[in-house]
Amino acid sequence: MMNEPTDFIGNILAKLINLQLENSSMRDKMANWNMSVVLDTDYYPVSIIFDEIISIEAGLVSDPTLVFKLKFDTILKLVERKTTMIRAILRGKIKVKGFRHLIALYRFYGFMNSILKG
Amino acid sequence: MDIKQRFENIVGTKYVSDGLGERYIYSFDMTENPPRKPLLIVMPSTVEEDKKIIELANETLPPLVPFVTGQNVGGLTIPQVEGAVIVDLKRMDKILEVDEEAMYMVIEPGVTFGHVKRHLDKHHPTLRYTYPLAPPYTSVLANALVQGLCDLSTTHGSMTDFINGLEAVLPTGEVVRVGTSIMGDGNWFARYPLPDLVGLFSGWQGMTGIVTKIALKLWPKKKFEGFAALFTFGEHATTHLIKKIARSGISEDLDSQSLSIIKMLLKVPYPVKHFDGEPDYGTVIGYTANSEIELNEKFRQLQELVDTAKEDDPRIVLIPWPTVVKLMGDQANEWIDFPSDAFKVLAEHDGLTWVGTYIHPKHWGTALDGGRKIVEKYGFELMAFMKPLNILHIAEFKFIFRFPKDEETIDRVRKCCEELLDFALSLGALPYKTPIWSAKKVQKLADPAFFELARKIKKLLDPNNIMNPGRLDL
Repeated sequence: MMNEPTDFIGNILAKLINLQLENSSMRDKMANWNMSVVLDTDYYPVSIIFDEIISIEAGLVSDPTLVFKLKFDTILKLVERKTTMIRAILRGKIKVKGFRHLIALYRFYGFMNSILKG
Repeated sequence: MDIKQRFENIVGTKYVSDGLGERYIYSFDMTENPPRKPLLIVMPSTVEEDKKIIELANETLPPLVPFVTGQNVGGLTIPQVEGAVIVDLKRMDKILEVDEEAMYMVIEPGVTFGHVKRHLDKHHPTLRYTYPLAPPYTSVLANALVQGLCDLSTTHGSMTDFINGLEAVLPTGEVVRVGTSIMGDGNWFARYPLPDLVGLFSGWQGMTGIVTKIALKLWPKKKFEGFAALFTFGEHATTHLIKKIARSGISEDLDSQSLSIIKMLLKVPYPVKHFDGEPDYGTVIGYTANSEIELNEKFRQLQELVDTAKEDDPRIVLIPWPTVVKLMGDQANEWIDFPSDAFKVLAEHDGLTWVGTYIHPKHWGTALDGGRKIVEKYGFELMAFMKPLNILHIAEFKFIFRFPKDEETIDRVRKCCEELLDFALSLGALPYKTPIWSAKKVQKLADPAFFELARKIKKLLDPNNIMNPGRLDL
């Protein structure tokens, strides 16, 4: 299980992620992802670092693999299933940087889908 | 026969103690207010015993301090003079009557919010009382008498506004009733017509007698209940939106708090800090309805008000409670299940205190903004609460502090509280559940004729000054 950070968004994300990490196959799958993702929200940026363990920090990590620019409101709509990642990206509600890292993008897309849907 | 034996003759040996342990326990509360040990503690169980205790006190003159569960968090039951006798009323714990037609209950001092909730849910499921941000083991009667707040205050005012009448043993030993129960039992439906003498007992902090029964309004329990969380930025923008929601009448309860408090509930460890960019306030909005359609319509109207505010700040969000639970876990349901014990996070240390006032709504944002700067200057966690009362005829705010009770911190807490109060007083605010240090400051600024009148009333009712002397610095 990952530590829960002390900032608001990071703490909520960690709670959602920890629910997924109860599943050991999910844990094993992510253990060698070795990437970092910034969620650049309209509140403040949060970085998710996938190393041997997952960690979250408030702020920007240097040289992230992917950057997702989105509003906190969009995160809520994803959780409420009022939209999907694909639809939000297509409608410009989520802007993505790092398309060249296709594997990372594919992994993170699946990851976000599973943690936000619960 | 010494005084202890004389009290024992009234209530029985088992219910009087002058043991060191008991005297210590009753000498302090969680606040920074200085402790003082009572002479002894006596625990009556009937009105007749209360009357005899007061008669004995008039003869032998030990000051009496009424006490129930000691949850006031204002130092209100700490004796202010030496040789005081604590009259602990928790054995008087009967719910005497629930009148379904006129919607009130009559209870004794020892009845707690937990008792009331359980009793109503089991025997009168169509009625509800109202619950404060306090543990379930808090006295309902004490909370009403000290003008506390509850989860219906946004629509109906402080808990004192729920009082239909009461019975008290006066400091001279007479048992009196005020309100319509002067016409007999089973008739506690209102506190007027005739002079509203509830005011002789509410806000007096036990200085005018021992209240032995109180009649309190109950309310119809609607079939459908909804909650939502609102996250906002900035003191002025937040109060502006909360005012709009309060005045719309959509919500029964609006409870705004610094985001730090939400983070504490999310188990962020002490000391909780604010990150740049985080919302400043989280507001829990409660609303009820007779049908699902009405409930959904209320949420839609809330969303409409929020959408207007989003034009100025698009970061504001309104989140229906099922989504809050999904984001923050099942624990979020405990935060709205009153009377709730979830706020025990506030009691992380041995010290807990607060400065709270009722203030003109026009000064609400300024008070919060200025208060925040003071709290930050002293380096404490930012724990502001605010609530509109009575559809916003009154605005309320408080700053809470949880702290380890070491000398340096207590000193810093006192200085910070004083500065906060000075600032609030400069805006015409008045502190509630007023501790003595705070009453002294009010007396320096307020119309002296008010306190002169209060002194005259106190002297008239309590010529020997036996009831909780020293409170409010009268």
